[in-house]
Amino acid sequence: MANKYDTLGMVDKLWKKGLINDQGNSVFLQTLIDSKLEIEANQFFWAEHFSPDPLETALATDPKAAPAFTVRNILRVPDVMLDGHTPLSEVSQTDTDGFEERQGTIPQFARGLYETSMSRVELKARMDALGSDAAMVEQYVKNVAGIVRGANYTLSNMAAQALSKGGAISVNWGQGVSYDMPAYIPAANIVTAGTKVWTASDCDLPEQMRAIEEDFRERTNFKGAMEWNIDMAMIKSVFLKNAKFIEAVNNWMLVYGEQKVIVVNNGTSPTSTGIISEENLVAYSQSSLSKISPIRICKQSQMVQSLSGRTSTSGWAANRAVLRPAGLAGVIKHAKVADIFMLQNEASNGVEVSTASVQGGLFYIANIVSANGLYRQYHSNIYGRVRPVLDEFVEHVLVKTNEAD
Amino acid sequence: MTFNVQTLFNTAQSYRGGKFVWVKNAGDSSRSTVLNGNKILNPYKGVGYAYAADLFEYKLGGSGYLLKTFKVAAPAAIDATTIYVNGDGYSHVPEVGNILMKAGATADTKAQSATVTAVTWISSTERFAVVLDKALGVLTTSDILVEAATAADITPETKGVYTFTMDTNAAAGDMLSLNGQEYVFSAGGTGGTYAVGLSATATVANIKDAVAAQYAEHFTVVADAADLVFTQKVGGVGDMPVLLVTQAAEAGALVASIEETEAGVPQSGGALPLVTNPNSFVEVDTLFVLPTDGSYGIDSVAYYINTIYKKEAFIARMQPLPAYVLGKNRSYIDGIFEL
Repeated sequence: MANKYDTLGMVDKLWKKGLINDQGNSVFLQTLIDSKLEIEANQFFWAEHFSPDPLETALATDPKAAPAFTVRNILRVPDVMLDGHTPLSEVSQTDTDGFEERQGTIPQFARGLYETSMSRVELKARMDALGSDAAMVEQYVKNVAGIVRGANYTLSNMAAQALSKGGAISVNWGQGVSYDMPAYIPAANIVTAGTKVWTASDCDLPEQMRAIEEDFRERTNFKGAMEWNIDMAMIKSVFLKNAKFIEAVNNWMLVYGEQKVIVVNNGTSPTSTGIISEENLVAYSQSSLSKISPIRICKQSQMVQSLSGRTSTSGWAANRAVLRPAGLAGVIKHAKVADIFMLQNEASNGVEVSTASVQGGLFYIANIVSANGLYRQYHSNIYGRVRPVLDEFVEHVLVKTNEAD
Repeated sequence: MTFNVQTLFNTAQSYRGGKFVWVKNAGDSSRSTVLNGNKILNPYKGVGYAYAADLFEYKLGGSGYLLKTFKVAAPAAIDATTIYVNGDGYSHVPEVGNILMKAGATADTKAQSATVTAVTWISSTERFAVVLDKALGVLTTSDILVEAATAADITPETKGVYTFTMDTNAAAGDMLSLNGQEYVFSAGGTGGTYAVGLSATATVANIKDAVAAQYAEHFTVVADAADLVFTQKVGGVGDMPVLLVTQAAEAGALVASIEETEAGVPQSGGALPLVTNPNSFVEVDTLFVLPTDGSYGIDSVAYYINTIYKKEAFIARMQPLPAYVLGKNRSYIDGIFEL
């Protein structure tokens, strides 16, 4: 029976010319990714807090110069009131603002797909047997998209770490090399929980959070809007169980909440509910009744592959809450990848290489076809030199919720 | 920009040329790179070089060790704490804090190790004077030092000594047995027997060569008057010979004994090399420029490297290789190192 599709041509397109369309332009993979990539719940966590730096860091021969990032933050000196002044006498001078600068390196990440002619022929045979079932093609497409998703998970994990560890990122997963990048927020911005640890049943959490916010604003003269970033696990285990938050949220419900219509007070039934939801909490924190800046719930998790198996992990540090200026926390610093440069400029004859950048240049994909004995081998590798960097690090406050004053 | 301070300085720097080390072979296209690369666990603390064809112990786990070797440049006495190693510009640089040891014949050979407390480069002789916190023992210019895994003292072996004594000279027909091997005495010493001498000393001399041959594996045997002295070749290896004396039924005279003169104790302690299994090459000369010891306010410096294998290099052009590393070589051609 004749096939509806030319399966070999299809496989060929996917593997060998996966990045090139019929006109020879490198857009095929781009559309593939854009149209087929499933946006999973927390794959793009990084994008909630970071935006890609519009400038790509160049590769240079000096390892200190690049690929390294520099972020600067103004050190605000409080604006003071004027002095009493006698006419024609000298005027006293005001301190000037300084700035803090942080430099660091951008680490590289990679992963790939590998097929040989033999496995490709197997794939073709399977597709023939299935009558070119479109699902089989999807299966392959998912794989390429999968490594792109993996790249996003990597970014999300690092983004959660940067937020919850004061810029520190520790990469020690799977089978790759480990990286340890230290924290760079000011030491004074790492504060304790307040009078009680946040998990304490009698902890007045809204009040303690308000005090932390006020202390920070007084100390730094920061007047801008702020937000709390709290990990989903802590929301569930601490915030939704905290008596004072339940009380405050109930109060909000009575005044503004949509749920207030269901609270019926016949004089004997209680007017408040013992159970509040994440939605209630966030809405309360955004209301004018709230003592604290709005809460943003952080939810992310990733999978790690090692030789021994796969495990689930999360980038958010345990027992850490973040108070920071509202809006984006920073940028994704990214750099050119030496592997792509070498493949584009120095690949051997007989090695077919096609490369493309994905996600606006954050990552690069290389499709490599080379000799494998008599036959061929097909590699699809994704490379990225990326690091989420806090550019509000002077105003980034880290609360150790498990350490009381 | 600074307008208020004027700075004057001079620098001088010479850039050395590259040294050929790879076997140039256009017919060979093999070059394999390791998976993911490795973090270098023993980077230079300050400025240093990893040279092309330097060896690296790659581990799949993500971090490994650079093999640094130091060729002894001048003989050192047993108690010398200042030693000299090559520093010709193509040599590895010893640094304060390195723990060094003399590389042994195998990767399991333990040796005394010592920590470097000061390093000075002597330009006239192109050597490093290395001050150690303790002596490494006698060094010759054929010795190669490597980094040790630990700072550890070695307790030298004590070679055990057993003394056989013929208290009364043998008579014809007497027999002694050492670990089951029989030595029969006769007047003439013919037919596989041993001649009875005029004195016990002479009789002992007659059997000495045969006994020495019997115990050649673990002992050196020398005759001393009416004694045979068994000295262990390696401390603690070789049990006391088992002696059985059988006098002839008539006129038997032989009386002999054996006792432990000194107990044998094997060597103990000592350090193993830091890099026991160098399995890949550094591909090109690589400069380490940032301090990794946290000095100058530069912290968290870590070096990562992608090493290669399935390559060949000329041994004479590589850094000096200790015997235990050369033993890994799988090249069929002398003088070429292949991993």
